[in-house]
Amino acid sequence: MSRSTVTTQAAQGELRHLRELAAAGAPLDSGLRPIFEGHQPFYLSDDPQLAEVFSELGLPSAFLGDAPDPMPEALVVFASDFLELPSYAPTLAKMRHSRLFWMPIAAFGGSFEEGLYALRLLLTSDFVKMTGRNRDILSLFASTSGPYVFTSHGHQLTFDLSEDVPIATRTRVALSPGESTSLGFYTEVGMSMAVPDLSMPYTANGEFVAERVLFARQRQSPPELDWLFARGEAALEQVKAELLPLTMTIKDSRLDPSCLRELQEIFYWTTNASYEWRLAELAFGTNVGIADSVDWSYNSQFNEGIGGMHIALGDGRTGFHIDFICPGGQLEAPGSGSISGFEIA
Amino acid sequence: MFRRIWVEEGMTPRGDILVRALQIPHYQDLESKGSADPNNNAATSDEIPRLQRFRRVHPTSCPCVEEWAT
Repeated sequence: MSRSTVTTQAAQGELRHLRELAAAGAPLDSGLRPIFEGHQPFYLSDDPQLAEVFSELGLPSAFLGDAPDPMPEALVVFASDFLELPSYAPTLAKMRHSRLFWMPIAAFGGSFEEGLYALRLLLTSDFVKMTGRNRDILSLFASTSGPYVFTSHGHQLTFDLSEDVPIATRTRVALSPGESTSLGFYTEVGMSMAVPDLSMPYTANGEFVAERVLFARQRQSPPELDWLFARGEAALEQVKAELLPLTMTIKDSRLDPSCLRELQEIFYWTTNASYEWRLAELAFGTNVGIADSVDWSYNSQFNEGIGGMHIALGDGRTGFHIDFICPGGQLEAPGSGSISGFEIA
Repeated sequence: MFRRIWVEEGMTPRGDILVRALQIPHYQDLESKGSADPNNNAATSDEIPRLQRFRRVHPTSCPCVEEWAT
């Protein structure tokens, strides 16, 4: 990486952090080895600048368009730009024998700086501990009847779960050959509203205090909605500047939007009005160890995985997916003696 | 049993969503053997058959499935 090509202060800062990590002695990506059962991962990105950084740091790597054939046994793919990415199906076909770990940078913004930030946190996260914490939360849900209570900032959000609950999370650290997954499966235990029937495996009531917000847009969202996303992104900046921390009242798994004040209308439309304020997601971040490294100026998926709870509006395809995040807090099943805490400052 | 949890952990080479049913007796059995220890992943990997169950949990009309289907 030519230093002259790195123009922003944020990128220079992230590169400095990464170079310090690389100079520290231990293999730079030793924390990822359990995911690949000891195999050295090969790094790919559709962002040529990011691919150059991989190379400078001594990581086996290539620009996605120049990927080796056949594909290596262990792959980490940073997907930064929906417009540049090839179709999933033929890409997956080429990688069908690999252990594949996706870093979906594009869904959260996709800038070079965000890619560097994600690389730094990827290299410093403890995926074994995360997976263990995921199991702890699943065990709590599987072995107790509920309802459950999340407590933070002196407020409580109570939720119950249906008899059959689909939950997205990793319970095993290691990927098998041919198996693919993405960052969020490790960093959170997530439940989502089903589309298009809008059924939710949870029923939530109470109050939730969001200290932070993030947004995501999935690849399937149509370009015709670009203007809507632009307006929503501007509104989110206003939320950050004026409304956080935001005390949210939830009734029958829907947000009482009055907390959004004059921004109600824009969020109603940007998160898909037909969802009528339903919570599209209820999730618990389990990447507890990154608390001191999180930089909230980035719109990064790593940030929602910080230990704590987050709830969301919108599905990211038909409109924005907005995460409202409460770091820390405590999750418990009252009366059962089972408690899972989030020990972060 | 209080509930049945369908754990989505990722995707198969065909793009199917990888799902494993987590049921209490099975999980408690693992815990009693100590293999639910988060630092003992190897033992867990041995005891939970890999790529055990495949199931599309999204409706066929979901654009996610359409995009990933082969």
